[in-house]
Amino acid sequence: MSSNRESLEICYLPATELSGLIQRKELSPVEVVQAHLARIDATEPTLNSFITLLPDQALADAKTAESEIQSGNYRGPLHGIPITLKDLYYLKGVRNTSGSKIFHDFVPDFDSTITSKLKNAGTVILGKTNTHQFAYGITGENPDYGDMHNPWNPQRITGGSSGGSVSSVASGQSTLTMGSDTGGSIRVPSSLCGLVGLKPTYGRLSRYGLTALSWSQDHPGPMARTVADCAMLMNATAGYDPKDPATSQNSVPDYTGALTGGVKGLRVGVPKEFFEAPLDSEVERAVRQAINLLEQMGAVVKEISWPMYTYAAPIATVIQMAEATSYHADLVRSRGGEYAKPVRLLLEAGFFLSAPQLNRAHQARTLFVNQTLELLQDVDVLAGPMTPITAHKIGATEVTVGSTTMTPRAALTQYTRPYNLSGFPAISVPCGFSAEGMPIGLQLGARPFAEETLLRTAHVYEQATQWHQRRPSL
Amino acid sequence: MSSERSRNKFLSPEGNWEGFLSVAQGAGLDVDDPHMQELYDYIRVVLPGLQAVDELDLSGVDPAMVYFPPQSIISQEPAQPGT
Repeated sequence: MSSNRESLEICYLPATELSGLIQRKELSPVEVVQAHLARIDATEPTLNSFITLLPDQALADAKTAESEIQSGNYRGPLHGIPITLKDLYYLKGVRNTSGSKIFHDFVPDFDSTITSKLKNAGTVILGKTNTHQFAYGITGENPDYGDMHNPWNPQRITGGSSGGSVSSVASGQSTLTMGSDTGGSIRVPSSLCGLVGLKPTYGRLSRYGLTALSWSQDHPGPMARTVADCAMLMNATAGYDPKDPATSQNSVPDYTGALTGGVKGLRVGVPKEFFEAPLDSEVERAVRQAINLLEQMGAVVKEISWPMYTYAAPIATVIQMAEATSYHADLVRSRGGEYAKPVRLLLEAGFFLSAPQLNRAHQARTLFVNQTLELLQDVDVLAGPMTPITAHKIGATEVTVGSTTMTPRAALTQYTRPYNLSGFPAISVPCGFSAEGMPIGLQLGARPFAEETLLRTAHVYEQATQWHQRRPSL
Repeated sequence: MSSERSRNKFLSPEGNWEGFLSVAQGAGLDVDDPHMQELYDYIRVVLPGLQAVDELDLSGVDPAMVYFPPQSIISQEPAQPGT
């Protein structure tokens, strides 16, 4: 197989297109991986996307894929496609640091379920990506392995915690990536770096073999440059896993097949509370234009109220703090000084929650889920901004949102918690750029297991716009 | 003093350093670590915001973690009185 395609062009092909070229033997997986490794060489000193790069293994796997395809053993649409994994996903024989030097030398002896599925699908794993330490942060700043840098402006954050994953795909270092989302860690960096990021329904994908943060709010999920690419990853990774008791036995639909059809008659609810919260005017304008476009394409849009929206953050935070502190209890007591300071403080603060307080949060969770389910009887999707601001400078300890000064954490998680708390699916899709050239994201949420509706809506919007075709000038 | 009462006292505007240390020690943290001052200042900022949950009327609401025993386990022995 050989191709005259430019190396950089190969790096920015969507998986849907790359897949066809590989299947038809117009492009070799070896050539594809070589192009991506060259891109990594050129951009990694700036971006710091990776904790562990696997060039030799990736080339070996690419050669295996090439040989299999040549001999007629085609595994499917992901065969030969480069992918990166957030350094929480166990990959047998490769260190899994979870973004902390405490686990610098920890090497798992098994694959996560998702890793296994991706290997069986024939993907080529390029490496393990950088992450906010233990996934317990939203900016992508990491004192142990270095901060992640936004490909659209390397002085700015990627967002987190799946920061290295998104920078690897947004920059063309990889075609696809997998991250995890406990308080926004797929959707926020996707929004800040111009990618599509899907947090599926809780239990749609297996958590087995991923470092946990908050057991009842952790959601593995895909990120890519297009909605269709996310759908491909969902097809390969979703499904029941007996090793994860939270996974659903609901059958897995064909997510790529769900992308057909428009949005005519789709009922879109826009919670007024989203726009009553602090919000940058450029972001608001872009998001409202996106919602208007959906309406022009036939969706029925109406303003609604989500009264418990403002309680999602405190409820979710109590539960997250209790669960994360439980997971890290022994380690933070004995090696607290080795944690990044903000992560250490969050974990230690969890010791100061009481059992009745946690139980009240679980009661409140029931109320929240019930109210949200009721809301989603009258509308099919909820729409609003993904983040109230675009990516800010690395190292900032406060940000200005409209006329309000906030911590980055409070700002960037402003719209994320409802979907982690409820477990309902949500997707971030690019909907514009700021005057400074930084990406803006639109968030859509839906009922449990309505990923098809989310993907179709996001796909229709994406195809009617050109945001997904822009590239950083890196 | 119960941990709940200690917690409420050190979150009050006046604070309660001794109450905070009592809870920290009970949690297994090193109370002689100078870091404790930083933690004290941190939780007095972060934890009050979580008390918004207390505004909700939760009477009669089951927590979202009620235990349901596995349905597939069926005892072969009838229950014995007095055990």
